[in-house]
Amino acid sequence: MKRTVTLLMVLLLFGLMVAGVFAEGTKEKAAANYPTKPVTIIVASKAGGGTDTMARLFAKYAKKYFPQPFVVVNKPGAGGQLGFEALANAKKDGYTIGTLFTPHVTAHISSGRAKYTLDSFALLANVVTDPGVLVVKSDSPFKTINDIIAAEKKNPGSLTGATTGPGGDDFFALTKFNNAAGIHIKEVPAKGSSGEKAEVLGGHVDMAFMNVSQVLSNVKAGELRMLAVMTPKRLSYLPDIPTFKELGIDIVSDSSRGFAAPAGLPDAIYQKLLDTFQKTLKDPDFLKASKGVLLLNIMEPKEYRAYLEDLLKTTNEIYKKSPW
Amino acid sequence: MLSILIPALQTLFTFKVMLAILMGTIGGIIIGAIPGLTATMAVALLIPVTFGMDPVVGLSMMGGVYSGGMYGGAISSILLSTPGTPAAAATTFDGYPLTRQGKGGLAITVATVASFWGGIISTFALLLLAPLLARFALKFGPPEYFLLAIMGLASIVTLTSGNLVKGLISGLLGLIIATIGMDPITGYIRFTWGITDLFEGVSFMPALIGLFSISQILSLTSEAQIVQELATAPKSLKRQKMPKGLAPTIARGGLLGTIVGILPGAGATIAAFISYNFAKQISKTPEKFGKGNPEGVAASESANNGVVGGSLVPLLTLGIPGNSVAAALLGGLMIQGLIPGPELFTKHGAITYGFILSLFFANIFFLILGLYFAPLFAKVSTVSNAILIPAIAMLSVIGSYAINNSIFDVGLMLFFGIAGYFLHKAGFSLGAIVLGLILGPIAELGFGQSLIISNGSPLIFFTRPISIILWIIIILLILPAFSGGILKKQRQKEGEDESNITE
Repeated sequence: MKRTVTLLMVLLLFGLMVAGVFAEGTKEKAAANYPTKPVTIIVASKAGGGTDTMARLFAKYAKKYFPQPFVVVNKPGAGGQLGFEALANAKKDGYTIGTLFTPHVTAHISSGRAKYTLDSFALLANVVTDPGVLVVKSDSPFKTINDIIAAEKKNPGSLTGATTGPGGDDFFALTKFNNAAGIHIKEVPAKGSSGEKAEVLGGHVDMAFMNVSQVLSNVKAGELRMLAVMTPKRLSYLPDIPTFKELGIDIVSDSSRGFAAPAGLPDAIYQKLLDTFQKTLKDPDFLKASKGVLLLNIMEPKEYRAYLEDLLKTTNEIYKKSPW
Repeated sequence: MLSILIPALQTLFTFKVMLAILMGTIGGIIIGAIPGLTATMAVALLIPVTFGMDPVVGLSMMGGVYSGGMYGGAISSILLSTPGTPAAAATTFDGYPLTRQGKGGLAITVATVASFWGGIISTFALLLLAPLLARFALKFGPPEYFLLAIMGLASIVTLTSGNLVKGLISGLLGLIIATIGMDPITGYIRFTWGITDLFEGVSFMPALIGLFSISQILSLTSEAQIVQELATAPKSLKRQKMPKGLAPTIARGGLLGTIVGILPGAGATIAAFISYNFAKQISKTPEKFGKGNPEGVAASESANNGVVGGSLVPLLTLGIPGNSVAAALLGGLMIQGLIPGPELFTKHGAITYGFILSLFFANIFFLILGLYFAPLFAKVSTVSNAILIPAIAMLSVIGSYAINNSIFDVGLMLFFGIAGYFLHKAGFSLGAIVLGLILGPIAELGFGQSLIISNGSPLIFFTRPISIILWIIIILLILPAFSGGILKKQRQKEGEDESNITE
């Protein structure tokens, strides 16, 4: 009896070793043959949103450069945190990649809630940057941000500004504006950008901290007015709108969306993915389809990494001063 | 305007466009009938596909999905007490009892006709009054949304005809569950025990599937078939004529749905509940509601399809989507280079009006399909429970997983199912719990926003004109339940006795 058990143990051990070698072999083979099946893109927001549209457009035009299809899987919830965590914990075999969007991806780290760090991701590319902008209704008495600062200083606590709520870029922008100008505009958190827009258009709040893509149509229709954008330099497509910076208030804020793989995937596979991204994002058909839909701002992994690290410092600072 | 409408209509009368509307509508009905698969997902899937298509073809297909999806939710609500979409939750109250009585075919016929007229009324409103209605929608600010939520909660009083106290407790339970997750004002995370999946609150669709469908199949296990009286079952398989006298209910529902649809942040579920509540309040025989009254089905279904046209008003004029399907549709518009605003109705008039007119066809298509296939759908309810229960269970699991691709939601669905079964047995109202769940976040956000704007003064809820009108409606809704409470109870008792006799 005892001998049979020992024999079984030995056999089992041997089996494991063989399996191990075999697995090692398949791993190398897997990298060489990659991709042999569809690649999943975890989209950390709902179907139909901006991040989702970006992923689906990429998936459509990546077909030309990648032998397997990309399949979008939406994993919304907790301000993207569920999706980011799913990406960070995904198998590192190149068959799962995902989306990141800012500032949420670093805000969750700052608040200590995230079960990932920036090192959990092998960045592929940033695709979209939607700059922050301060808008008022077109019949508002405020023509410049200095009007707002003056009115607020004269009558403290009298002005309200819509944001999408704590932990989002609009909230950060409002907080930065208050801190930089030494004023106190009251934050009215709304449900999403559509809630913000309804409140500012309806005259229920004095101003809204939003993103450029969300308000372009209303500005064009003469319903909203942009006072200043939160970029380092004026935007090429909005040459008449000043930046906060040139008005003496140092605010840079945006919402960026890009792609990453879980860190630690084989380098050969990462390179293949990176190559696919670089080609697809330059594809003329992709560029044509994203015109008017995505505010493209392609960043290579190195630049993207620096951008995220910089953002993490900012969100850390804000969390210290006014936690959410 | 006619000079734009006629060419717009001409663009529709091509084989390609008609086929797109038909395919969209059929796809929408199927997606709507399956819990967990939503019109939002379907539209989002179509966005990249429609790029490169003729804009009218792509948009009318999406419009078909939206209309068909809103209607399709009724089918599973009526036959299986499993709302295919949250908006069809109120349809179960009378639709499912009708199925139990062997009148599933009738209920579907009523739902089809009511949905059709709801859709037509709201599409007319969209076509003729869009800019005017959009301005009205903007008048609704945080205090009004708070009061709208209170108005919805007031329907608990009428919803729970039997036991008011248990109904109120149910509503409160729903509100308490709705506080789980991030505080919308401060961002503080409440009652989540550190579970990330709960940070954004209890996900609504799984809770709904659990409360309605799982608790239902648990009660069904003791019976052989959904239809209680087999003798009447074959009747349900024949084509049914519309019962008379539903026209006013349908017209009211369609209008109510349109109005609620226009308000971004309210939505189809609330519209259906408010309309159901109104129908019951106005009815001379409110005791018949909840026991298989076709009027209840008509009220809820006309309202939720009324939302379709309504929600497109702020979307097309201001770029503010009224609900999640409209938000996905916004993506569909943008990819065609159609930016919401006045230009949509002038420069791109042919496309925009083509899209609006295509909604009429989508409604006509599901009317024909629904009426024709009603008896066939109704057959589902005569299938043996031994087959039906596992099938519903499987759909419930898949549906609650699919909504967020989350296994946590499946557990949530099961939890709500088991809890719902016992609560229902104990006489609590599952409808009231659902109302609390939907309206809690809207009430909380509106309340918080209002007080921030008013520097903490509650006067803001009483000084604005629309607020005052809402207060009056709320009081009118609640008053009968308290003032005539004893009288009503008496009447209800009589009504119950009567129905016992007729049974």
